[in-house]
Amino acid sequence: MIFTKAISYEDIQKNLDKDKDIISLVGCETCVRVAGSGGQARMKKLALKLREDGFNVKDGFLVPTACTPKLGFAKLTSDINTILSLGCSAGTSNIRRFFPTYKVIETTVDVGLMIEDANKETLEITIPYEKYKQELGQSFEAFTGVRKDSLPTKEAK
Amino acid sequence: MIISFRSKSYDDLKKQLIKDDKIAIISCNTCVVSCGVGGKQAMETLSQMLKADGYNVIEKDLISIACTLTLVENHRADPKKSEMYDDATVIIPLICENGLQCVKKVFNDKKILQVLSTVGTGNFTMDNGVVLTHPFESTSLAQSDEGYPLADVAEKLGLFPSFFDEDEAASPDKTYVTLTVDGQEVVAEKGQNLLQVCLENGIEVPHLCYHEELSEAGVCRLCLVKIQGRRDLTPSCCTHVEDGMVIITEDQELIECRRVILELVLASHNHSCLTCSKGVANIFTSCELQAMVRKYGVDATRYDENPETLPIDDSSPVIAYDPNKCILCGRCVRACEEVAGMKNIGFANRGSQTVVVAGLNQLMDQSACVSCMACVNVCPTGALSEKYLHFEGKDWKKTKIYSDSF
Repeated sequence: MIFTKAISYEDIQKNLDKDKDIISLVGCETCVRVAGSGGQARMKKLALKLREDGFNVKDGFLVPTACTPKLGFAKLTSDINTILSLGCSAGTSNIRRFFPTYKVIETTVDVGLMIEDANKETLEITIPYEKYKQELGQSFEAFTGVRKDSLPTKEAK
Repeated sequence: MIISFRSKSYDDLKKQLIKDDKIAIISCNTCVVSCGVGGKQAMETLSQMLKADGYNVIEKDLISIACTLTLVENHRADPKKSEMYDDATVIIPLICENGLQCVKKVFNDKKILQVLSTVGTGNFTMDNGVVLTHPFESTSLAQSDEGYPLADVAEKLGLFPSFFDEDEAASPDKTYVTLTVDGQEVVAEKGQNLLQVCLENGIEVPHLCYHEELSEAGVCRLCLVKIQGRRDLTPSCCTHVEDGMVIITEDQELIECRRVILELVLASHNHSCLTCSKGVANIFTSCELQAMVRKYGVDATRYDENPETLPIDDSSPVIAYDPNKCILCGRCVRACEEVAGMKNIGFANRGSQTVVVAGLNQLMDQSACVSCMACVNVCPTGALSEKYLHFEGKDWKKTKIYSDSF
């Protein structure tokens, strides 16, 4: 699986235009959901926050895998001109290929490849991209992407 | 999708083996299958090649997602497989370098022979197949939304563009038999599954419970055939070929049998295609029951339809489970046990009350399900399906998009 980190809200909205952009969010339900940077909850939070801040967010789609033709189930209406991708970089490339005339904005950044321990609900970076090589072997909480060493211990709780 | 290639020649692989090695070949059933370097067929090919060259391949094992450590651990701990794994001295994983880390953790007492190299992430496209869009820096290739076709990447990086070639190994020492199917002479390997032999020879035998990645069950009875010399109709999915067999796969009696079975299946619950996620076939999936019903011209059922409507389990973020569309073929149960290694799905109750449930008859998201999709991938109807979701409105209301919107 591919480990991604969420791009900050401030950095996402810098790329959006309140007057011109009519936005649809398109997300993936596989790696980004497990990594905590995608999925239903983050999509809803992001969509409602953008609306609250005056952006024209119309709707959203979640497909099982954004890096395959299953992306075709995201049926955008004709008024949409901007897509916010809640997929990994490969999923975003697929979105760009599927919807070549749209403005596509990323909301995640790839860190590397990860393995999941479903029993412990942890993720471990096994093959990081060069920029994130210091993350090799780091553990994160599954579905939130929070670093394990930053989580409060049982005693602290 | 993680992109991997074969990085080792067959000769180099053999150099790392000795004849006394007890070899287990394991494969992930996800990205490497799309890349053409893993999956059941690839394991079978490599196994036959090594056996033909005198090596001792003791088992092959398919794992739904090998980058989920829990699944690899479960496969090793499975009572049906643990003895084999304890016995094995060498593991050949047809698994990407990421999943390989799980293999190394679980099989740290074995010699592991890596044969695949992972080069980045990419897409499965309709026009160019699998393409590499985000190569690792070590490849010196730039990122590309269009992606690089795998053959080009293999050439640039000095990797192998395809899986091992059977011609590189000695001729397999197989015993072949000749049988007659519907008057047609067919040659097959002795002991091969009769239904598989028929399918490989273009002879369509209807089936719902049989799946080539799973063990034989023989529960749906649609694949019943007539074998000369046998008194009863025989399920071809549980029959292994022998020399001189004479088989009839379809005649009026078999057609009537199949029609009755299909009518009973249709009467078991509401199988309306209008409310089914697989109601309309698309490039990814189609309803196998619908195909059978059409083939045998079953317009309606003569039996009273079970009026009971079971609750739909919509709790999983990625899997929709509608037990009203379930035909109790057991494919999901076997996939969860054999491919996922989870044993999280099983049958509950008895007789007409039998139903497939997750965990201890829990909602899917309250069970141990890890969403590996092994069950969804083999479900022949719309009982277990992937979720496609649409959100809109002031409250971001969720609706499921069915395949007919594709």
